[in-house]
Amino acid sequence: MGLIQRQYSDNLVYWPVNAKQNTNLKGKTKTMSSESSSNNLSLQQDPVRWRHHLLAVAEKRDKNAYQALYVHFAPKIKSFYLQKGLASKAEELMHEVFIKIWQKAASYNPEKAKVSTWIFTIVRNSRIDYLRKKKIDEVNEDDCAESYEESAFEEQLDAERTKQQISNLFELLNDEQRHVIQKVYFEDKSHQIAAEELDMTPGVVKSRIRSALKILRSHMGGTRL
Amino acid sequence: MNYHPDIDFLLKYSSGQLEPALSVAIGVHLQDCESCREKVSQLEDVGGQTLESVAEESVSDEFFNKLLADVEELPIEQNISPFEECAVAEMDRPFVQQLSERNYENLQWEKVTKNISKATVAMNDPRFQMELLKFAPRAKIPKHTHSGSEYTLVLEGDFSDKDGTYRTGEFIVNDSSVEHQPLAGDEGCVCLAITDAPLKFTGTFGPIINWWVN
Repeated sequence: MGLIQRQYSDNLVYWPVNAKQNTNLKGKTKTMSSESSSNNLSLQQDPVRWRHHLLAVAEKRDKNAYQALYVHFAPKIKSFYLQKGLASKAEELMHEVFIKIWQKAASYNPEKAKVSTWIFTIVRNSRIDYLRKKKIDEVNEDDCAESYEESAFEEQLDAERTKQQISNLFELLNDEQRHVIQKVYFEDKSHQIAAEELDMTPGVVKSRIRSALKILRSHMGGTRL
Repeated sequence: MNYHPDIDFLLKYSSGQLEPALSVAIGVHLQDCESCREKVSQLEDVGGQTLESVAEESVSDEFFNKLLADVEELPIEQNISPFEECAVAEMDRPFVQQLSERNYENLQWEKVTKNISKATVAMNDPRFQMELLKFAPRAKIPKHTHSGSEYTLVLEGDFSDKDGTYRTGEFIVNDSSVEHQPLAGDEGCVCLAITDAPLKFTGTFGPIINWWVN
C-alpha cells in the first residue's frame, strides 16, 4: 500500500506502521520475552506472517502460531484498552479477545482484511460489548457527539460531491489531519488530550477535524439531506 | 441509493464510538449498501494500523499459559454469522439481523392513526428512542419538527418530502430546523426512526397526535 512510505515530520509515529517505527517502539518498551519474538524481529511487521499464523490456528489449532500472534498483538491490545480508559479491565478484555481469536479464526478471510484489521474489529467489539453491558457512557461521548455533529451539519452543504475513485479514503488527508482523526476517533481521546499530544491548541484540533471530514465527505458520493 | 450516513457516522461506527441505537441503524444500512461497507472496511484498516502503532505494554508469561489452558477445551467455531462483524454490541446484533431480514414478527404494533402504526423498540439506550413506523400507501405523515435530530432508515417502500424521495435502505438525518410533511409512496413505507427527543407534531391535529404518541 502506498500509505506505508509516508514521511514523519516529527516524532509522532501514529500513522501507518513501518519497520522503522517498530524499531523505535522496541527500544522503549518491554515486551514479553519469548523465543519466537526475538528470533523473528525482522519479520514482525510482515502481514503475510500473521496471515500464515492465523490460518494455522484455524486449520491446525497450531499453538505455536497462536503464541506468535499473542506475543505480537497482546502488548498492543492491552495498551489500546489502557489508552481508552479501561485500565481495570484491560487484561480481562485482552484475554477475551484472544479467546475469540482462537474460536473465530476460521472466519478470517485473508482477501477481505489484514490480520491487524481483523483483530482490531474483535478488540473494538469486545469493548462495545463491555460498555454496553455495563451501560457506561464514555466520558467524552457527549462532548464528541455534539461538536462533530455540529460541524458536520455546518459543512455538509459546502462539500463538493465528486465521486472520484480512490483506493483508500485516508490517502486524501495530510499527516496532521490523519493524526487528529486517528487520535480522536480510534484512540478515543478528547480534543484537549489530542491537542496536548499533538502539540496543538484544541481549536486547531477542531479545525483539522472539520477540514478532514469535509475532504472525506466530498468523496463519499451520493447526497445527504 | 442516494442517501447515505455521513462520514462522521461511519468513522464513529468503525471505531466503536457510535451510540447503540445509531449503530443498529448503520449496521442495517451496511447490509444493503456495498459502497458504505467498502468505506467501513477502509476505516477498519485505519483501526488496525492504530492498533499496530500503539506503544506496547508488558504482558506476563503466566497470562499466556492461562489462556492456553482456557482454549484447550474450546472448539474452533465453523459457522460464524456474518452479523458478528457488525460494530454493534452482541446483545443488539439479533435485532440488526431481524431488521436486515425485514422481519417484524415479535414487535408490538399499535395504531397511531388510521394509516400509521408504530412499534417502540426498547433499546435501553439512554440518549435515543427507537421506533418502527409503518405507513399505509400514500399516507400523509403529520407535519412535524424535531426538538432534536431524527435519524431515519427506510426499511421498505419509500416516502418523499419537499426535498426528495427516500428509498429502501437509505439513511436520512433531519435536525430541528426542518419542518416537513412527508408522504408515503404507492407501496407504503416501513421506517426505523431514531430520535433523541420525541417528535413534535405541528399540524392541525398536532396536539392530539402528540398526546397519542407520548
